[in-house]
This record gives sequence, structure tokens and C-alpha cells, in this order.
Amino acid sequence: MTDQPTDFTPADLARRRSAARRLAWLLGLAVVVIYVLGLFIKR
Amino acid sequence: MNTATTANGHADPHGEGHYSGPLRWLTTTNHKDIGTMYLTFSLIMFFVGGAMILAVRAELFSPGLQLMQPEFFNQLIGVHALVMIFAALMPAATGFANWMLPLMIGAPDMALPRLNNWGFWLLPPAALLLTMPFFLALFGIGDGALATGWTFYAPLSVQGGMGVDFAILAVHILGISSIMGSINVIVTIFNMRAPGMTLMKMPLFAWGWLITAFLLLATLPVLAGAVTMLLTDRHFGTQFFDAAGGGDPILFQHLFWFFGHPEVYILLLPVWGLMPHVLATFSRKPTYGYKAQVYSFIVIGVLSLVVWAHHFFTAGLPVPALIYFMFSTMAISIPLAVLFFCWIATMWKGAMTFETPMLFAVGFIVLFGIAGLTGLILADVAADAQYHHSYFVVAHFHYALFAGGIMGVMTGVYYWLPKWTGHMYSEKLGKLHFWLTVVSFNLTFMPQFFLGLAGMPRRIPDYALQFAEFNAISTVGAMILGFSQLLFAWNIWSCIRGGEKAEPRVWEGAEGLEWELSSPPPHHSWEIQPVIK
Amino acid sequence: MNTSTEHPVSSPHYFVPQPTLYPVILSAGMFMLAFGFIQMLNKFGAGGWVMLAGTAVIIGVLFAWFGKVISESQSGAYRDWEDRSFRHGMIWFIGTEVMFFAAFFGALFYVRVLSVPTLAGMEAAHGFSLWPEFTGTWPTSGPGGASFTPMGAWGIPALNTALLLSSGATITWAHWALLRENRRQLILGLAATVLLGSIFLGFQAWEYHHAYTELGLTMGAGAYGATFFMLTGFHGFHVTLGTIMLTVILLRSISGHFTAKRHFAFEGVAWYWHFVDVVWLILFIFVYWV
Repeated sequence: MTDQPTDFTPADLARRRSAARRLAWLLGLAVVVIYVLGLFIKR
Repeated sequence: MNTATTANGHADPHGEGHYSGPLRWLTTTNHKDIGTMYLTFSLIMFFVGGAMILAVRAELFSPGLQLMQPEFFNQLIGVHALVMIFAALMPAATGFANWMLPLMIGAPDMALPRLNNWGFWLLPPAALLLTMPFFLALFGIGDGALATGWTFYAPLSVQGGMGVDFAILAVHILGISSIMGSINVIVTIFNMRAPGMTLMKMPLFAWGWLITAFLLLATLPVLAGAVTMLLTDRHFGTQFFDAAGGGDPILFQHLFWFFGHPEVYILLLPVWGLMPHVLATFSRKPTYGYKAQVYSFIVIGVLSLVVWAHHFFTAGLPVPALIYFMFSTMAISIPLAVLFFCWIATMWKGAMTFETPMLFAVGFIVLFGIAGLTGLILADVAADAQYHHSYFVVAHFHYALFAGGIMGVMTGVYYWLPKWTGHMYSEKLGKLHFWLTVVSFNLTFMPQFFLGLAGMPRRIPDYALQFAEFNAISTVGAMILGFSQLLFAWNIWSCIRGGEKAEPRVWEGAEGLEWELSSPPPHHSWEIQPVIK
Repeated sequence: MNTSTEHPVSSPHYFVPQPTLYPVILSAGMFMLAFGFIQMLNKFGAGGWVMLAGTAVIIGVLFAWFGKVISESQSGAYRDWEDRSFRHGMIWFIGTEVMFFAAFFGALFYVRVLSVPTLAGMEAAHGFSLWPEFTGTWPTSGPGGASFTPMGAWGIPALNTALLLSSGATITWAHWALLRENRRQLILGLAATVLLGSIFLGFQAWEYHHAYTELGLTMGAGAYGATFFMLTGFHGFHVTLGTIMLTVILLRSISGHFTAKRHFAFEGVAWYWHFVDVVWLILFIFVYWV
């Protein structure tokens, strides 16, 4: 079985760490954008 | 039988006798064997309950009656719910507790092993009682299982056929089983922890289960009392739920939901307990906010006991009661939001990898979040007047109990399966199972939100033409969802049969006592308790 | 066996019992009891006979299971660690029993505070009532119920209160005697408790007979009859269990079991007895008195 991603190099993990942080900021930004857009929607 | 006992009756540490073959499982006092039985039983009943609801969804594929009579439809939905809640989800959580609690807190076994065995072996008779009326009806005895929905509201259940009696007795036996299991968990946690493991050093999974066990002890006896009153109303002339005698059908709803609402948290707290372990492992970071999560568990546990009436806002409660139950219900969202924050903060800046358990954990957070937010809508008295008893409710609690409960259980199964079997499962199949489950789950239940908003009531076999398209989509989704669970069963089966050997520390980021033992752990784990510093 | 044996064991191992068939057989007996009960209620199959067989199985297993536990206890298998488990277990078990009674007390308070006054106030509140004559004074069998005479508090029930309270005292006396290793007083105290419990049950049976034959007070007597018989009935059932447990403890005391240091079974039964006692006090106040 080769589909077990068990061993990661420290470089791999560092890359994943920064990717996780970037994604989190992106999601946070998306939430803010949706919130601000919501302010302009008239019911 | 190998009777290697010392003179004073203590099991010999190197070879406690146990039978082989079926007798081993009937007689075992070992927490791992009992945990395995709980989990196997749960998986079987998951498919039994699933088959019932696939028949229901097939009937709902298009308007009109195609496959079954309304009476049989009603029986299927009620027994589906009872089977899924009492025979699939609760035993799965108890199976986790049996397998993992002693390993995680450094105990030699559960505190009361014979009682533990009894707790499990009460389940098959109860499941038999639940499903037997279906088969008896084939022989012309009675008119099938209970047709009242799983809530058996009076007066319908007072007038109902003998399926109601079967369900009442089944609930009694299931209740005894859960109470025995809960007493065992509480005693194990209080009395069996490794030296040095204070309560605030205990794994969060143990905390989640501790609160669960207290909720079970507090509420199951009330359910037992409620169904006993129902039984005497049915057969012995009492009038608890009859206005002509000074009673009240709404009394039944109060008693039922005093149990029924904490039951939701009984199903979810074990999952919330295991979630931080999985998230921390695959983010390679310590759990964020341990104390905050413990306190949230406690607050949610206490609040869940005092919010029950939001399940019947439309029954005609006095306005002050409505307002109280609305605000107390909404207050639960605060500790729950704390949990969500902690889960997400655990992943924040983590070196995340997405093995199957992690996929299920992240999927859980997103989908269970939808359950929480739609729950807030239903907690609003004014809005609930519109959505009560509609498909919106059905969609909401399936996001809570399938995406929250069952996907949480699947997270735990994939996370601990290598520990239990000593083999790695197939990641490819696991990932396929995850994606099929998530996509088809949303395909099934997302349309039901809109059906509910449009006014389709739940628990009916036929519906207006305007609901046809979304019901068809929902049925297609349900079929894919149901059949893709076979992948899950197959993956577990082949993992038990063999596969790549698992390390003691199965996941490289995993922390905790359970990973110090070999995979699978020896028959007796922690004979000598570890000391926690 | 005349003296209880204590093995000072230095091993840190927790006692995990050997594999056992008792739980499976007990579950089978409970299944038979439940299934037979359903058969009897719905008049099919062998009904009562299945129940009887189930009951026999349950009683047989309980004898064997508790017998096994007693022999393990006498052989010194249980030490402080196991003892703590039993204590915790018994406490939480009594906790569930409290909640079981809470359901029925909840029903009592609900009908008295909410449903009966609401039914009586329909005319005033909505200008419409199915039962405009209904005044809702407690005790009541409801607007459509049969007439009956409620059970007075100061005859048998007050006597029963005195009996149970003194039984609480006698069992505490027995406990003190056990702590001082005074076996004669221990046996006397337990025998007195069993006797008081049995007299209580006798009075309770007489009271039921009186209610059914002379007062017209039956389970079918509306909200009052339902709550009265379910609360006193389940309490009486628990007193019966408690008396059986006390009898076992009495017999064990006579055969010389228990030491001042190690007597969980005695304490467990005593806690249970006090619990039954407290439930009766609440019951006396809210069912019979006010």
C-alpha cells in the first residue's frame, strides 16, 4: 500500500503550515466581504 | 477454558482465561471485546435503520402512493428513528467509550466488567423487540410496529396498536442498558484514572463522555417513567394524558422532551470529545482551549436539561414559557460557538494533512455548523410557528445527527481503526467514502430545507405536486448516501482481515496514552498503571 | 464460613472477573418477561407462561450472580480500589432511581399546578368550556371522572411514616453495631428493620384493598387515582426490593459476613433504604397530606 501519507519532511510540514494560515486569512476575508455585502442588500 | 487464576481469585496478568468461539463474545468481561461488540452491533443496526429509510425515500421519490400504505410508511419512519438513535448512534458512542476510555486514562479495564457485558447484551433483545412487530404482522399477529413516529406522542400512542407496547418495552430495556453503560463510564473515570491524571489533565474525549453519562443518568429514568405512564394509560385505565381525567396530552411531550433534548447532546458530546484529538493530531499542534472546551461541555450539559419545550412551541404553551425556552435555547449557542472556535483555532497555522479522519472532522465542522445555525432559526418562537413539523426540521436534525453524530462516529472509527485492528485501512477507499458521503448527504438534505421553507410537512407519504422535483433530488441523494456506506463496511472488514501493519503511534502527530500501547493493544492494557507527571 | 477473610494483597492489579454467562442469561430472561407481558396485554401466544418463565430465569440468575459476587467478596478479591468502584456505582444508581421518581412527581405537580386549574378555568379565560361545571378542586378525578373518596393522611399513611422513619433509625443502629463489631446488635437491628419494612408493606396492601373496595379509589380515578397509585405503587415496589435486600444482608450477617472495615453490601443496602425512606416522606407530604 503506497497511499498512506505517513512520512512528511519538515519542509513539507512548513509549507502546509503557511498554506493553512493563508487559507484561514482568505476564509476570514470572505466572511468579512459577505458581511459587508449584506449591509447593502435591501429586503 | 484457561483458568489461570491465583488463589484469591485475581486474574493472572499473563493469561486471563477466556473462551474461544461464540462463547468468548457471550461471556467476555474485557472492555475491548465488549467495545468491539458495541461497534459491530451499531454498524449492523445502522444498515437496518438505513434500509428502512431508503424504502421511505423511494416512496417519496414522486407524489402519490407507489410502494406502501401510509400506515406502513409511518411505522418505517418511527422505527428508523428509534433504531438509528438507540441502536446505531448510542451503541457506537458506548463502543468508543469501552474501547478507548481505559486506554486513554491508563486504566486496566472498565470499573465494573460484568455489568459492562450486561449493558451490551441487553441491546440485541431490545432491537428484536423493536423490529419484531414487522414480522409478527406477516403472520397476522398485530398491525405492525409503532406508527406514531419515534416520539410516541399521546393520545395517538394511547390509541395505537400493539407495536406501541413493543416499543415501550424496548425503550425500557434500552434505557437499562444505557444506564448500566453510563454508571460504568462514570465510575471508570472517577476511580480508574492513572495516578497523576487529574480531572483537568484528562483527555477531552473522557470529559465529553463524562457529561454524556451524567445526562443519561438524569434523563433516561424520566423517559422510562413517561413510557410507563403511557403503558398504564393504554392498558390499566390511568388518565395521565387524558383531559377528561384531569390529565394532559402535553404532559407527555414535557416528559418525553425532558429526555429527548438532552438526548441530542448525549449523541453529540462523545463526538465533540473526540473531535479535538483528531484535529490536533492532523494539525500537529496541541489542542486549543482545553479548559474552555471542558467548561463548554459542562455548560451545554446543564443548559440541555432546561430547554426541552422548544420542541413543542406550537403545542400551546403560555407566552412567558415560550420566551424562557426561546432564550435558554439560544443561550446554548454561546458555549457551542466556543467549541467551534476552539476546533478552528486548533487548525490555525497547523501543518495540516488530510487523512480520512481529518477529512471527516473538517466536514463535520462545516456541516454541523449548518445544523447549529438552522437550530437557531427553529429556536425562534415566531419563526418556529412556520417551520414546526416541516421538512426544515427534518433537514436540521439530520445535519445535527448525521453530519454531527454519524460523521463524527466515522471520524472516530477511521482515527482509531488502526489502533483496534493493528492494520491500516485503505486511504483511497476512505477518501472515496468521505467524498461520496458528503456530496450525497448534502444532495439529500439540502433540498429538504427548501421543501420545509415551502411548507412541506414531515411524516407524510404523499405530498403536493410543487414539491416533486426537490423530493426526487433528495431521494437520489439518499440512495447514493445509503449505498456508499457499503464502502465504509467493506473498508472496515478488509482492515480487520489484514493490511499494512500499524505502528503503536498510528498517526505521527498523535498525543496521548492510547498511542503508547501496541496496535492492537494487548488483551490487558495498563495492567500496571502509567504515572502521569 | 464463619469469619470473613481479608487477604492483604500487595499486587496493584484491579480485579477483573472471569468471563461469565450470567449477564446474557439475565438479558434473555428479561426479553422473555417483556415479550410475555406484551403477549398478555395483547392476548396472543402463551402470555403469562412466558412471563413466568422469564421471571424464573431472572430470579435464578440473580441468585447465581449475587452468590458469585458474595463468594468473591468473601475470598478477599475486593480491596479498597474495587470497593470504591462499588460505592460510586451504587450512588449513581440511586441517582437514576431519584430521577425515575422525579418523573412521576413531575406528573403529579403538572396536573395539580397546570392541567387541572387550566381545565377549571376554561370558562373564565375563553368563555367556553367542554366542562363548565368543573371546579378543579384537588383531589379530583377530572371533569369526566368517576366519584371517589380520597385517601386521608392521618390514618394508616401517618402510621406508615412512623414505621419507615423508625426503620431508618434501626438500620443506623445496626450500622453502629457493625462498626463496633457487635454482631448481636447488628442482627437485631437488621431484623427490626426487615420487620418494620414488612409491616409497612402489609399496611400498604391493606390500604390498597380499602381504596378499591370501599373508597372507589382506583387507578382509573382520573389524575388523582393515576398519580396516587403509580407513586405509592412504585414506592411500594422499591420497599419490597429493599426488604429483600435487607433480608439477604441479615442472613449474611448471621453467617458472619462483614467486618467493621469492609461491608460495602451493608452500606449499599442502607443507602438504598434511606433513599426509599426519603421518597416516602415527599410522597406523604404531596400525595397524602397537602
